[in-house]
Amino acid sequence: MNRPNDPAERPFFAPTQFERHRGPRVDENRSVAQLARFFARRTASGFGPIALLFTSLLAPMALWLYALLRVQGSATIGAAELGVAAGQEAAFVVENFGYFFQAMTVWVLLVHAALTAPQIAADARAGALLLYFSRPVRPAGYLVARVMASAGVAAIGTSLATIIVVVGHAHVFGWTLPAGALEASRGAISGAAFFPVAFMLLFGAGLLICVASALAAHACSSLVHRGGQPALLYAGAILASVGISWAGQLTWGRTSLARAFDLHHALQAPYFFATRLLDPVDAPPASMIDGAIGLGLWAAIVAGSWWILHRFLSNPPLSRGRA
Amino acid sequence: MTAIVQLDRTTRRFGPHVAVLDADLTLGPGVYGLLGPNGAGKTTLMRMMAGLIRPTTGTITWLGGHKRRARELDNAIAICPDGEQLPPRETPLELLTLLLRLSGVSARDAGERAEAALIDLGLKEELDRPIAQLSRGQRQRVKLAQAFAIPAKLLLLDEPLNALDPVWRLKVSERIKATAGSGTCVIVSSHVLAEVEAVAERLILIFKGRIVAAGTHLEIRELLDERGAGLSITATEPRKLAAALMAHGAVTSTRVEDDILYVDADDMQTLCKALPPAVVASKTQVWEVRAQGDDLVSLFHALADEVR
Repeated sequence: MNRPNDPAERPFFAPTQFERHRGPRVDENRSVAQLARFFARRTASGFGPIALLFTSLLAPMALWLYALLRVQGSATIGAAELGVAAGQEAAFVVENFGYFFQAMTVWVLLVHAALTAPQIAADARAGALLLYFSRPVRPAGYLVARVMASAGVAAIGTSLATIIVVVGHAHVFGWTLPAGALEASRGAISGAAFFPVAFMLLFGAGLLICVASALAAHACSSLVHRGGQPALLYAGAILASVGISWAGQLTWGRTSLARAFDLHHALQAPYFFATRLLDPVDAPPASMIDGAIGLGLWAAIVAGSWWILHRFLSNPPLSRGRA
Repeated sequence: MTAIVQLDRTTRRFGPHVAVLDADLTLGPGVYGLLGPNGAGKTTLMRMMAGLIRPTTGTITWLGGHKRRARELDNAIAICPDGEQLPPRETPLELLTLLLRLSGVSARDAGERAEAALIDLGLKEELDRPIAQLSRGQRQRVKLAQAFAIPAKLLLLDEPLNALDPVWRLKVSERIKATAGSGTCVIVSSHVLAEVEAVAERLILIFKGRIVAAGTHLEIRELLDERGAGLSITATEPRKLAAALMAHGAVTSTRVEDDILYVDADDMQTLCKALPPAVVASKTQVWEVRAQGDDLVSLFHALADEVR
């Protein structure tokens, strides 16, 4: 019987020797990939109703466009039908892509608010974190799997939309833009490379948005755990940043700098920074500086979210408050 | 023989609350019962031993000196958590297959092993039902199945017999003993002495975060017996009954509060024999007789006082 009122008298049941255990190591990358696949299936199962909603919103718009073209009586659409002056094709396309990218950002934010924000909170509530971490999975691995899954599912949507938009524009203006079409933009890119480069930019920036906003949504999920609270926090943070941005715009009057503080615009910063390559007309030094600030804010969102999540997962609430 | 888990002056605090204080333990293969009332710190101690939470101070090493989350410990530790620690939307088969895949089992084998582990715990009909639809006992068996599914060196079972019916209590107890027989250190926590006595060779008593005693269950039983006897008797005339008991010489002290008489004695058997004639002699009506001091909580209090 050990009665440890004397510190030297420790409960001691077995002899101690320092013969180290050499168990088989598990390849953590495989575990993370497995976990990401599992999470992606779960995320995608909630994606169906949202995709249906967006499709139902887009269908009337497509029908309207079709009807408009039928009324105009044009069988084909070209630069002339769209009223784009010669030499302005590249600028027109870049502007269109900009609008598309903004819409895509809003879509990604909504998808993450609806699908991603509740996930870590649900794991914390259900106690599933304890089961995952009882296996050879570290917090960073779990986090990578979660981000891969939610960003991956959203990226499928953005990639499909990007393909449709780029192919549609290339169909209208031709895959190789004539030299004159690039004249006004004075871009360094050849006509043949214009659409492939635009596609890569939209695709890459879409991925970056998916990853950054997934991280931000997961970070919100780690801060509050009840029902819809993570989604509300996430949406609230975005709306608050929009409010701050508007206040900044009213105060400073420097629109692009103030807009950079808006989370929604900060997430788009990598794209708008990169599109200076395609259309450098609107790229005075001040605008480039504002773009760089936006880029810095984007990086801060990613780093801050990662820090919040890693801190939470290193010591997660495994027992819903029980000691 | 290798020490499977070793705690050296391990303390865990949650803000101002001390969940575990200065725990010192060295455990090898075998079954250990971690016994303590609710809120004693059992769950925190087990989760520290599972490497899931860090101690605030002190150190824990596993299997001959490995630190927390060392790659050499992959699959060496398994835990069956207490409470409702399961994702509700998954089916038992999906969850176990995933957990086995995370443990490095190939896709082909994981499904088969998961199915076998669940069938072994009587869940053949529930393989493909969402966990939310299972009964508490079935969910408990899912948690046990995931813990038994990997050949761990340290198996931590937090309140494993909760919600199980007597048949499954027996089966799970046998399974625990068989697992320990193959050189595994199995730690079973409970707040019920009889529950851990049935499976554990040795007991560790924890109270208010402190390990207050450790030994075989016979030694713990002796501790209970050493504590003397006491009764609380609800009666119409407690003072007359106290006088009658004193006259029999069966009690060492008495105290009356309202209609309850508290008596202490050296020997419970003598006290029980003396009670009926004392009731008759005092012409009092007795409504309730309760034993005092032979329950685990009072033992824990007494041991905690000694340690303090």
